[in-house]
Amino acid sequence: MELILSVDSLDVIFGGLAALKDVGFTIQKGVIKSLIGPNGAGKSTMLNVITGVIQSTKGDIHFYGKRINGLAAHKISRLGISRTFQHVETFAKMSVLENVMVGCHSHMSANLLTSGLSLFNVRREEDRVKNEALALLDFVGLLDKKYQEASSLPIGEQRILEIARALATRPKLLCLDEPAAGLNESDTNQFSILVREIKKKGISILLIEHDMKLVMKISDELTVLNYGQKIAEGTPIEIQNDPVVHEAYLGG
Amino acid sequence: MFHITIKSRIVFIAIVLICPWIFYLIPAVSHYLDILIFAGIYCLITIGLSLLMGYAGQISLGHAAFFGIGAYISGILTTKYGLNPWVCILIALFVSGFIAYCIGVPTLKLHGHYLAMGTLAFGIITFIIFNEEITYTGGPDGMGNIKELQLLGFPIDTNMKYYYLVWLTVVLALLFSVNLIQSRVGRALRAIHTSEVAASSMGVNVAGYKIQIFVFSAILASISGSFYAHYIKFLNPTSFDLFFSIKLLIMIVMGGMRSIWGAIIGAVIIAFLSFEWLGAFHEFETLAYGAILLLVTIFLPDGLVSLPGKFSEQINKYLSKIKA
Ligand SMILES: Nc1ncnc2c1ncn2[C@@H]1O[C@H](COP(=O)(O)OP(=O)(O)O)[C@@H](O)[C@H]1O
Ligand SMILES: [Mg+2]
Repeated sequence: MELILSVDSLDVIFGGLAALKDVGFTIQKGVIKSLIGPNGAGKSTMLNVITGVIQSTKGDIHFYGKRINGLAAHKISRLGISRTFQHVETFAKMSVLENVMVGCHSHMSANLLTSGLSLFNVRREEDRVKNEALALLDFVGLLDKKYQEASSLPIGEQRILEIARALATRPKLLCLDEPAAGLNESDTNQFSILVREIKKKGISILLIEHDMKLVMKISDELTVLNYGQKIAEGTPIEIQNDPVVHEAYLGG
Repeated sequence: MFHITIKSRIVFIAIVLICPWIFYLIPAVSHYLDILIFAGIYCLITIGLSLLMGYAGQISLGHAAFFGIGAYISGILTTKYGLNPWVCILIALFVSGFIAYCIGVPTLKLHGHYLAMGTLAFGIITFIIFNEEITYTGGPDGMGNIKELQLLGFPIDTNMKYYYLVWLTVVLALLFSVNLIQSRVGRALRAIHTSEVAASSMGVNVAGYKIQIFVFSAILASISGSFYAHYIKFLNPTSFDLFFSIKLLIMIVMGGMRSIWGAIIGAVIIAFLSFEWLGAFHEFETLAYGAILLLVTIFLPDGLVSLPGKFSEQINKYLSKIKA
């Protein structure tokens, strides 16, 4: 097993409040790792720090051996970490297809001048990326909505669109923040199939999810956070039988 | 709305080519050619502003200053130093681009409306310099004797020729911008407009693109200023004051921020309003612009370009009512 991400004694402090305190965990290549915990435990904060949206106060994050704390979000994205958002952040007025094409941004080379002049190689690149985006939309099952405005999709489909957009960056690690929130049972099943398909492509997944049935079904490993601290770690079976976790969830 | 068809581009070019002859042949409106030249000069600025504001979502309150820098650099270097006017246009656009870069780097890296504040201050300072540097700019008395442009040895000495110079430049700027909007860069700009966090998480260098498009819009404004100087041949600081920056915003908002066509429509209409239709208002002209801005933002938030769509929507509604 190859180690791709390691988080070591990470602190994130907002004003006086410690959203994360001395948290550490690792992700291996090709696994689905879930981050669970009650609301306000610091899960989204962890994902935001890993993807460079907010800065850590202390500690280290290494991705393929490179320290990524403090790097700008777009640079982290280019290194191979992509994400979706708990509160959907699709590009509302752009088409579904264009949303995914934005995800292809990093592996394109057209700049302001060459785009404006619409040079031959720019148009060829545009075609390549369009096909790539269409293939991804087919993969997640949104192909027939490709020309719709993103904001016209129901929220569940916007979450799926965010996954397609994130995949378009060609990530090695995909971070999903409550991707199944608001999905009904059959959609949730569809979703778990999709996640397994992504895993098959060799992409590691960091999943934040409240639906415990889903989490226990698809995760390889779990890390449990409570009040910004790690309280448990292990396989789904280990976590299900952990008294500390039960206490945190069922009221201690 | 973002997709701009080949057909609409061809129609636009055809209109640009034919329009002056219509005015030329009808004596009662022959002076419209003059107004159209000003409209074209405005268009060069509003196309850049439309990319900056409508597409990338950043507000500038200082584009009159870049327009002025273009005009004064062309004016001063050609009259006082006898340089080739085309070289002066190049110098001016480099200077404008460089200044835009210097303003853009600190203000665009921050979130919120720091660019609006920074450009507002810059516009005011530039206006003061135009007024006070009397040795170069002539100060409030203005500067004159700017020569006409020549192209490959032929003087551009009639309104008809100047019209084609300005409007063919507008066509080039428009085609360039249309390509841009429908490309990697354009998608990045529009993504930044909706969500900077999502855009940067998709690998888009948010600050970098904001700066690039700000510099590009400043360069277009500068070229416009140079054309203005060689057309009007007399420069006065009041043409480059804060009110002109705001007038540019009114053009964009009135035409429609979410479409590059809005920039063209807004510029043409405001040119006709200021040179022809609002003349009767005299000192109340500003008030009239305020009223226009108010009415458009309330009743047509997507600008005049959205009018045909709204109109056909109403007709469809009406038709389906009749059927029912
Ligand atoms: N940008 C922020 N500024 C201040 N406090 C924040 C910010 N983001 C999150 N928090 C706080 O940090 C804690 C953890 O939040 P979050 O990571 O969103 O929790 P979770 O995703 O586990 O529900 C909460 O108390 C929240 O109020
Ligand atoms: Mg959260």
